[in-house]
Amino acid sequence: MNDHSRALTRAAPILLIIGLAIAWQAPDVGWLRLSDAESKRAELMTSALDALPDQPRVLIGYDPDLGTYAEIRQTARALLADLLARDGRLAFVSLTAEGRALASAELARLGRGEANPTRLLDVGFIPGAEAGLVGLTRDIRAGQLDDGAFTREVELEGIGAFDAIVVIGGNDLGPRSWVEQVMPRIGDVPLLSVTPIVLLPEVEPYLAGEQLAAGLTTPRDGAAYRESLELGNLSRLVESTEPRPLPLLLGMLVAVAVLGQALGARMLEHLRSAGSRSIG
Amino acid sequence: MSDFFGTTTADTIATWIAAIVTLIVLGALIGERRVFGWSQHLLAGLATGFLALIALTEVIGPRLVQPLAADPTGRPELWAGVALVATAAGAPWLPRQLSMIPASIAIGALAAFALGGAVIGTLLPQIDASIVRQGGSLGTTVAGASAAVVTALVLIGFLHGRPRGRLVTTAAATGRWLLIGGLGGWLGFLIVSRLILLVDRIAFLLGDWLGLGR
Amino acid sequence: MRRPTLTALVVIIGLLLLADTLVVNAALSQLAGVAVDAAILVAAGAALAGVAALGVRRVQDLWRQRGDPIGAVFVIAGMAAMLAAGLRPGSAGTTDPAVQWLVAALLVPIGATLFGLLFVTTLGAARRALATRTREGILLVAGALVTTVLLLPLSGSAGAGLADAATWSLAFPIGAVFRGLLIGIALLSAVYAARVLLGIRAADE
Repeated sequence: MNDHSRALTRAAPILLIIGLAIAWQAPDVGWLRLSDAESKRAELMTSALDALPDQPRVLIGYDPDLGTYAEIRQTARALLADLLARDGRLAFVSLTAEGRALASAELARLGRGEANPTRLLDVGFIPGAEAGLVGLTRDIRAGQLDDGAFTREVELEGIGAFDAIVVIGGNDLGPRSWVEQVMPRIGDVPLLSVTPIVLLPEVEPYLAGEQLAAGLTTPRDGAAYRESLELGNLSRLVESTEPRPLPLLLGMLVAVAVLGQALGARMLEHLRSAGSRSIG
Repeated sequence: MSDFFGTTTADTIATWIAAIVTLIVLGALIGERRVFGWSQHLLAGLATGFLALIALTEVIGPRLVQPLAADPTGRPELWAGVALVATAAGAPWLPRQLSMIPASIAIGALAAFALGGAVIGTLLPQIDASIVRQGGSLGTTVAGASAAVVTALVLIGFLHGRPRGRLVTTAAATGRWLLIGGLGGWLGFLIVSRLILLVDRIAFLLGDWLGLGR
Repeated sequence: MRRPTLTALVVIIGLLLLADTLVVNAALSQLAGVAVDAAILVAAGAALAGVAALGVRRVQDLWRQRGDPIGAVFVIAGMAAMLAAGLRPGSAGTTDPAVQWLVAALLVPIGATLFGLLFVTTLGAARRALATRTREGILLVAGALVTTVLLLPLSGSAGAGLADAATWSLAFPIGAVFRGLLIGIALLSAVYAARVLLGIRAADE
């Protein structure tokens, strides 16, 4: 590597950041679109929510992690707003520390957005991962944090009080743990999920096998679901701006170029060495 | 916009501090490692402090301390709980014979939940879902059968350390290639996921902090 | 060294919880409930142990002037700030505004930006995978390249085609691979857990 290419390699990350910032500032263009207009996953999620009874009581397993939250944050917030728009009552529980930090931040945000506090219940944190999930199926202790009517129902009926479970998952604890530990211990309660794309290997088989009633797993599915929502007055609870596709496109093209250049060079090398072997 | 901040003075200060630490971490890209390292230490301190806080205020407090404070003699099992927590918390400094008691409880519970969950929650339903059923179109049946073959090959490749026999060796090798291809696909997802996060931080700096592009 | 009493404790707890999963019995369920509660309390205690061990280590680093003393100050300061915010008299714990402030101003931005940097390092790692000059490296990066292209946020017929291809690839080749991987991991977990429960692998190994 000569001095010129070494300097370029050092400057490349900064140039990338500058490029992404310029692209973020640039006006939106028509030929870019995050959502898939015919996303079956988004339609499945809407159907699963439509099938819930009126004023559904929903347990929200809020365990995203800092490393992936930005990817699912807008979809998770849209889903919470959608559930509240359906007059749902939501109980938040976290089994990871990062999930708990983000759940309490989201509850504070919902409070600032003047979401009806009687429809929100903070169950708090349960440690022990699998043991915590199993503990959740045995009894739910929420009275220390809240003493409203919803709390009393949940304390009385436990996990049986809920019409659905929504898992906002992350790297540390995702839908797999819920499918393995909670679903065999409760009845026919639909399990829905919002997960980052890196969790696809563990989520996809459960979606295909219908152990998960619905799941939003890719940015495209999430964008399609958000686009389909009509929240009316509660649109104040979702983020005011959608992610901009141009910086994403730029970053992905950079990734494709970097990987493609390296891959092409390596394959050429392979071909040359194979050619020289055949001549030899 | 991340919307983690409100409109009070404290929120404005928080936005500024968040922007400064974001720039410090991004500074690692230009080789500024010293301040970046300190930010990692701060993150470790805050994260572990938060973990201790939730363990104390959301588990040990409501499950043990508050019931015991209300009725110190009514529920003697809670004192056993206190002893268990104290043993687990003091494990790094206690004799191994004592510290292994909470560890044994944790391992026993983990093993039972892992075994039960894996068999009932994953193995049986997923094997059932892999089975090709008649009733759909020919195309669906062929696609289902092909998927089942791919699943079986990956499973053989994943589980076989040193396969014996030509057929199994070929199947395991094919399975391993499929597995690597699948992991490559996952690497692509990972790259996109990280990109979204980077763009989100830039959006925070430009939007939430500098107020551009709103 | 194996300790029979501790191995027995692992086996008893494990079999009790396993039996409770499979058999419906009120007395068994009550006993299993005690074991589950104990496991939850142990997890909380273990969390405190980890935090305390880190704190003690960093205080010792500072006291003995070893390692990175300024780094140790940051660890201790972060820990102390969070605990003071959540445990001071009158605090609401994790929902206290001071705790929320620390989470929003420091914890989330540092953590999230750190993971954002991984975009650059992951690309570097993928290039290094190719530098190993193996066919596996080529296949790995080719797979990454294809999925990245399939996720490009384009509209119109090109975007629809990419979305269809992404859906198909998830439903068939990638989905089938992931299912094989999931079943494999579940099998290994089950076998390993069964060995622990049967006492073949001791708790302190």
